[in-house]
Amino acid sequence: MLSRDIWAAGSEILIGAGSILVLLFEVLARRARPVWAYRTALVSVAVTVFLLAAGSLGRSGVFWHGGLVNDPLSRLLDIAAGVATFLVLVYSRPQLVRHGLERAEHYFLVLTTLLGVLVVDSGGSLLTLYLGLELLALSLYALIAIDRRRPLGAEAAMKYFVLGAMASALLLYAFTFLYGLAGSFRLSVVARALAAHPGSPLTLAAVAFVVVALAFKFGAVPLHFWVPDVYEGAPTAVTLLVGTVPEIASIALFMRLLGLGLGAASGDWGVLLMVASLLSLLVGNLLAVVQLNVRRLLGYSAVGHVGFILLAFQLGGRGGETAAVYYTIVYVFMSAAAFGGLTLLEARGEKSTTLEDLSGLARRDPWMAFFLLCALFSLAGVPPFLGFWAKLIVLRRVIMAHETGLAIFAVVMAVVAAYYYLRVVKSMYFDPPPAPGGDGAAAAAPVPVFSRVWLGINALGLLVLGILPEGLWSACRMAMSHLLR
Amino acid sequence: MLHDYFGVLVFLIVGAVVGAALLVLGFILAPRHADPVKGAAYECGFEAFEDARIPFDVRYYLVAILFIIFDLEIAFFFPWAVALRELGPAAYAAMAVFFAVLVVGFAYEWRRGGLEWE
Amino acid sequence: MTAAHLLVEGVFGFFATVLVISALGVVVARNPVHAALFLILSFFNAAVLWVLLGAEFLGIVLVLVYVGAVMVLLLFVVMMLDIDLVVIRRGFVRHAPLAAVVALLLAFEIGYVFWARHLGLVSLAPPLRPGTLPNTRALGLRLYRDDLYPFEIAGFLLLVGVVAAIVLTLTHREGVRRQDPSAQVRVEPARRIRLVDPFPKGTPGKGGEGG
Repeated sequence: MLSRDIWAAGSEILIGAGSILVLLFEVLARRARPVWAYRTALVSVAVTVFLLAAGSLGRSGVFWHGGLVNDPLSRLLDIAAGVATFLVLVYSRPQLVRHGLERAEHYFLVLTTLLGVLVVDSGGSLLTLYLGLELLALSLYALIAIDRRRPLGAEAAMKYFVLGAMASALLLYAFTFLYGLAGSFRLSVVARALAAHPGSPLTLAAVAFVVVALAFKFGAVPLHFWVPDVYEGAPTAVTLLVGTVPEIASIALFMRLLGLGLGAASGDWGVLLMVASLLSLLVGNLLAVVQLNVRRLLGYSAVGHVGFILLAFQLGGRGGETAAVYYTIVYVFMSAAAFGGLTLLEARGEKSTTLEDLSGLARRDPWMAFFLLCALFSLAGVPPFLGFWAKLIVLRRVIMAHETGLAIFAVVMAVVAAYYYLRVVKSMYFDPPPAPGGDGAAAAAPVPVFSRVWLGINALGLLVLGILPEGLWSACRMAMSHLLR
Repeated sequence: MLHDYFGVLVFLIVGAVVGAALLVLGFILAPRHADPVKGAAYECGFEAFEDARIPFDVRYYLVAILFIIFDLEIAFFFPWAVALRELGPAAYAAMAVFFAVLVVGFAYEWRRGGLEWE
Repeated sequence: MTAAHLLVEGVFGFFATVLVISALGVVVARNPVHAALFLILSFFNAAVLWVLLGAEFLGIVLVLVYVGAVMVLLLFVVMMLDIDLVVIRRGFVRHAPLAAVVALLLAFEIGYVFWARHLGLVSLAPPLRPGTLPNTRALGLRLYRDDLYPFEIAGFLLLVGVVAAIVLTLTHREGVRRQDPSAQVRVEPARRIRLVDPFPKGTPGKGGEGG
């Protein structure tokens, strides 16, 4: 019985053990070198992803008295989060080394972030969902402020922390309502209790609080204020992490908590999410247009993408939810490529803060410019790339639900998004490089081939999977057809 | 269950009464010759010119935060210890893992010099 | 029985009253240190209320963790931040309407829950009956039988807390002499004292150079 439970938590245990190992090196080694922490982290993530993909971890079922639910969805999201973390580790190390930020604690906190995501992915009770979320959030707070020479990072971490603590408090408040209603933390019991008491005012209050808390975690308008600040203020390697892996936990939380736990109240949260989605599309995309700082631009554009994800999710029903999950996974890998490119540019000693810093990149480093181009085209939704299919599937779902007005609005906003993404591309390819005398080519140092190759795989993957979109989509549909709670 | 706490209540009442009584007696019986100079803060003979609140070393926070964390860990031990007899080996192993995780944290803290004072 | 009941009710009423007053004191006190002390008082009172309601363990943890540890931290913060109250209160009138709206909303939310309960729409699950099992033991049985998985995650949460606190606040200043007990213990007299001949044979004239 217990051994079965332990086996079921295999991925969590592997990552947890990896993080402990990173700390143990730090404690036991006479002169610890962070590169060992990096290798340990990389290996434990790679092994976990491999075992998950091979199907030897995460047998389907409900374990730990309902605390852990393994189903195809949790496996898919676990793999996506693991691959994203692997890429984040690979991209971030050269930059960390160059800026003197490489510490074992950094890798430890990246691993605990992933651990939090894994716990949320397969969370079957309110308790595990909350604890996973806190593990994830606490690691991120520390990572954002980890560079103490950078006041902007401390400020961003403070904002994120204060708002995040409020969101957590709201979530806990909602959980007390749900517990009062159901008398159990288990999502299956909560779902049954909600179905038995339709329209209870307590449900309404719980739904409102849950939506507010989740909207914060995802960075949806009107709770998006932290997004651009954190994207700009955090060290680049951390921005790369914040912009990718936690999104998986956000969609998992939406699926588990709203889709499976509060599914009976989908009428209540659908309206709230629709408003949040429309506002996110509008505010995120319009504010991204006026940004000159690339990271703030990507921050606001992330808000816009969340708008798309919520637009699919608020439709309710498996179709919309599948589209939302698909969009999120696609977005995570587009975002990983975009921020990975920026991170590796910084690792070469270039600046990548403003649009001007990027101008003429195609002449200085054609490959890097091409990888960034793939990521940006995909984010913009240009046809052969993967991002196009994500947008298309969401729009098709919206139209199938006879919400043509919403679909038209989303298309208009996607066009706005294409404008500012293509402006970055134009700056890379057609603008003259910044005036010499800056630290452009002179300080450029070679980036490790390993990181570049992975960035290439990531960027070209967006193109190849865009040409052959069937695999990922059917994997998502498979995962969503056998949900457990 | 509340019977067990009756003694605590009595203790609280006695404590409050005795404490209040001593203050009141002092107030009534003691000779008082109030003077502003008597009430002034004594700072090596010169007048207090600074607020008591001055920036502390951030190190105090570290100690306080680490104290909170290990205090919480202790809080987990109480229900475990009380119920251990009925719980069996699984709970024992679980606590061993929990404790091991935190021992790693403690060793890390020690190694990093978080317990040293400069 | 009724006398005992009355006693409990009376004690509850007394501590609840003190709790409300001290909570008001936290908000109203002009001196932040006084506010912190009021907060300690209200923690104590809340702890007593919890014990009266049968949640002994929570009451004890409230004293142990909040009064014992969190308040120490809070007092450090209060002492360190050199708070100028005049500056804090400057924006009071300007922000009062917003604050009033938030306060009203919160009051509405809390009232809403009570109201919902009285509508009879909520079927509250029966809690663990107080009296059948000591509260701490009931909690232990629940936590360490059903909730082992969340318990271990909590362990990792605390570990991340340790690491985060050290990463964010620990600095080693250069040029500060610190005690090294291990070196102190290992010291041997033979290595401490080195006998030096101030006037080696071959160099008679160089002794007084330093002076």
